[in-house]
Amino acid sequence: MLQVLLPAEFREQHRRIVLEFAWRGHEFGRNEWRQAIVAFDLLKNGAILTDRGLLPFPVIYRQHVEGPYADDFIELLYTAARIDVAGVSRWATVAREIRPRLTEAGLFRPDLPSTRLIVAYCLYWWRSFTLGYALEVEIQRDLQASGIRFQAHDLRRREERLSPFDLVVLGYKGDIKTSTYFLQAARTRMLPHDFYITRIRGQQRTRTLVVFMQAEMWRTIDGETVLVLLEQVADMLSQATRIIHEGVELIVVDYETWKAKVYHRQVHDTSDESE
Amino acid sequence: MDQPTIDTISQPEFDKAIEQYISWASEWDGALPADVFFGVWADLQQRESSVELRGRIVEGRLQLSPMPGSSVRVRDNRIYLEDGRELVIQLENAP
Repeated sequence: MLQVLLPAEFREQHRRIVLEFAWRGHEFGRNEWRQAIVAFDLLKNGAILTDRGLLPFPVIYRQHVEGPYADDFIELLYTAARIDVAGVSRWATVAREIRPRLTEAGLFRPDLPSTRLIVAYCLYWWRSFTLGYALEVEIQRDLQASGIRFQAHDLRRREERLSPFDLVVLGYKGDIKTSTYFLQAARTRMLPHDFYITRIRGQQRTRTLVVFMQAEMWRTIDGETVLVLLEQVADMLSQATRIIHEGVELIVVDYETWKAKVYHRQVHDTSDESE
Repeated sequence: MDQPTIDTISQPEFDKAIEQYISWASEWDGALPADVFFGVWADLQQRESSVELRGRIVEGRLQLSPMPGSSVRVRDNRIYLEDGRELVIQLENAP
């Protein structure tokens, strides 16, 4: 017996967008990304009913993808000179192994088209996982090179990797997330940490890191901001802005500015301590 | 003709779609354009927020009306959802 169970909210348009995503997700605009983020989020509540019992999609992903491949991948990130190059190569190798692996486990069957959803789910989250940790290692390296004092987990240790926050700076807890991971988190819950670092693409298609932080952290390192609507932030990345998420005020500032202010604060604190 | 979905295409098409995904995702760094990122965030936030409607009983029938500035479509006792579904609220007499 093999039956794919999906949440009632997962509808025709979600099945369509999952296919579209496979074809051309990198070209998606605002509306398509909104649908894709919702679709892959809804699939977290999917499951496969087998003779052995009910297997939720996230459990299948952990057993067949993250479990066997995550540790090696993260080890590779720590040792690679070029994180992006090494990460992509390993990601693609594993991505090609996912479907055969699920087939062998009896969870993907060509004669049962609905089982394609578990393949799509695993591929999507494996890419999110690898991009997320590559960004995290890159930020750790950059903070270190910039002379910022911070505490971070050793991602090679699974229990540390699963910690709800990624690093501590000036006593504030922060998280490093890719754009889509961040939106997925923002969709489903409040943003509980003091700050978030994410990467987006600026107006000249250049990659830009931005930091969202709670007002308290910003007060510690600076002061003035301009209150804007979320849709306006893209045009105002050069200055510190304030937005409202779920009724909570967040400060948006580009990563280099944030880093400079943190560094200044840490140097200032050190000289205070030594006096 | 209906648009294809992940489970209505043929198996060879599915194989091709997976290869296509691995191909573009290998080149993709996961960074969304700023306008897309903040636009989606705004959409998701709006989607999660509650929507208020006014209701009146007129000659025993429910008449709903949207709050000023709301984009929600309503008519009499029907609420039209963005995904095409309709919510129909039927009144019952109190026991």
